[in-house]
Amino acid sequence: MSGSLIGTFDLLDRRTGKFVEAQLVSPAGSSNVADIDGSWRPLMQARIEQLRSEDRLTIGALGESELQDAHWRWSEKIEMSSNRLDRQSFAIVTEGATQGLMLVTTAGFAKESSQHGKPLVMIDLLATAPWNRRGFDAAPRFKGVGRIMMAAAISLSVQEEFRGRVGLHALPQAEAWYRDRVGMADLGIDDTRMRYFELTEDQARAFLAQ
Amino acid sequence: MEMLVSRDWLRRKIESDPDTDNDAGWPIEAIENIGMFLPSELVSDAGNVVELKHAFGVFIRQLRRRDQLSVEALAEKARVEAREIRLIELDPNYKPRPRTVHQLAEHFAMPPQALMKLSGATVTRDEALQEEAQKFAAKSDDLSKLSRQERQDLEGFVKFLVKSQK
Amino acid sequence: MVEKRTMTLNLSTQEMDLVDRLADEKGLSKTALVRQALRLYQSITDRIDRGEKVFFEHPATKEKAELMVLS
Repeated sequence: MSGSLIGTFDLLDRRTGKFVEAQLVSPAGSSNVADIDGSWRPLMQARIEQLRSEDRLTIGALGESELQDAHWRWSEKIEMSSNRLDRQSFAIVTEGATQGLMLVTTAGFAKESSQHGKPLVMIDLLATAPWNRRGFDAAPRFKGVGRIMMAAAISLSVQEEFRGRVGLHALPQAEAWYRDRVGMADLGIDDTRMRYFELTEDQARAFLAQ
Repeated sequence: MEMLVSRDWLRRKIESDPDTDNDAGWPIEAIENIGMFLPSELVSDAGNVVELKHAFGVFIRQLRRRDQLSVEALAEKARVEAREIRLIELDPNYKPRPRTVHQLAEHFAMPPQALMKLSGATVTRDEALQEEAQKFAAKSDDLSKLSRQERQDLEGFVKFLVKSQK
Repeated sequence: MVEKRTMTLNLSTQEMDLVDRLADEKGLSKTALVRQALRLYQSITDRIDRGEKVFFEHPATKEKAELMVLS
């Protein structure tokens, strides 16, 4: 099964400085799973092997190389999304390869005081292909997955009548992006031991009007 | 779903955005649960693992004594090697295999995740577990038969482990 | 576009009042409210079917109350 096309956008190829056409699809489908299992995972596994051979395999090094998700059972997560009314998945595809993946829940409750208890789109996962990660690749390839996915999450939130409310837990290297560029409220580190951010109605409006 | 921004808008933003990563989600927290997938060397990276493993050895030994089982009898019942049980009980640096931990968890009807953490088979940052495990190990002396106090301590720790996984 | 179908619901006054109140509180239309209710119900049912327990936890006391589902 492959998803339907939400729209055609562009990712910036850092190597050439040029934009390359990218398709945003939803839900993520079997071709995306095949990409992740066939391309993302072997790269991550190879890096783990490399760290091990250099005797540098520590949790810290895994974080620096952005391999925290190396163990994920992606296909299960995507498969599960397809059977559940409260889950949606998005993938960005360029040059026939999956460049990014987003899994969201649409049955969450907001925590920020001005919108406490109201429904929101919770981003359970926003991941870019390893070759697009700055921590993973010294010369990362495409830029823009995060921006497109964030715009998609807000659009979904508006469509669902959640007025742009979005929540997520950011990885440490992405905290500044969500706080300063996306303009989300920083609600601090919660019991997941990650920093939780929430976009309010007003902040969503400001993001779209930027 | 209709995107509320245009292709042009996205291009402009992507061009002017700072070049940072935007990844979000569960990965960091999940590290705790990936011992099975992580290379074993990583386990020593979590500071208190040796203490935890020491507590694991004491714990298994106490449970075995509570049930009045010899090493061989436990090995047979839990379908693991007797040699490995001896190593678990005596050598805090010994890292048991995940299967062994699972078999022991099953035999003693303990939550496997808690024992995986305790044994160092999965990496944990669970401070409450570390604290309780150290307290337990420090209090538990190696007597041939469990004293009443030791039995209480053991039961207290079992309760904590079971509860911590709820 | 996902195909949409229409159904008529026969609700008691009390139920209808609740739909109105929740829709108002959550800032949702009645359709969106029912959609949220279905999502939540499916997600809880899914977990219980997989043998999981669903709890509510009090933030201060950490006291847990299991969500009971009568079968």
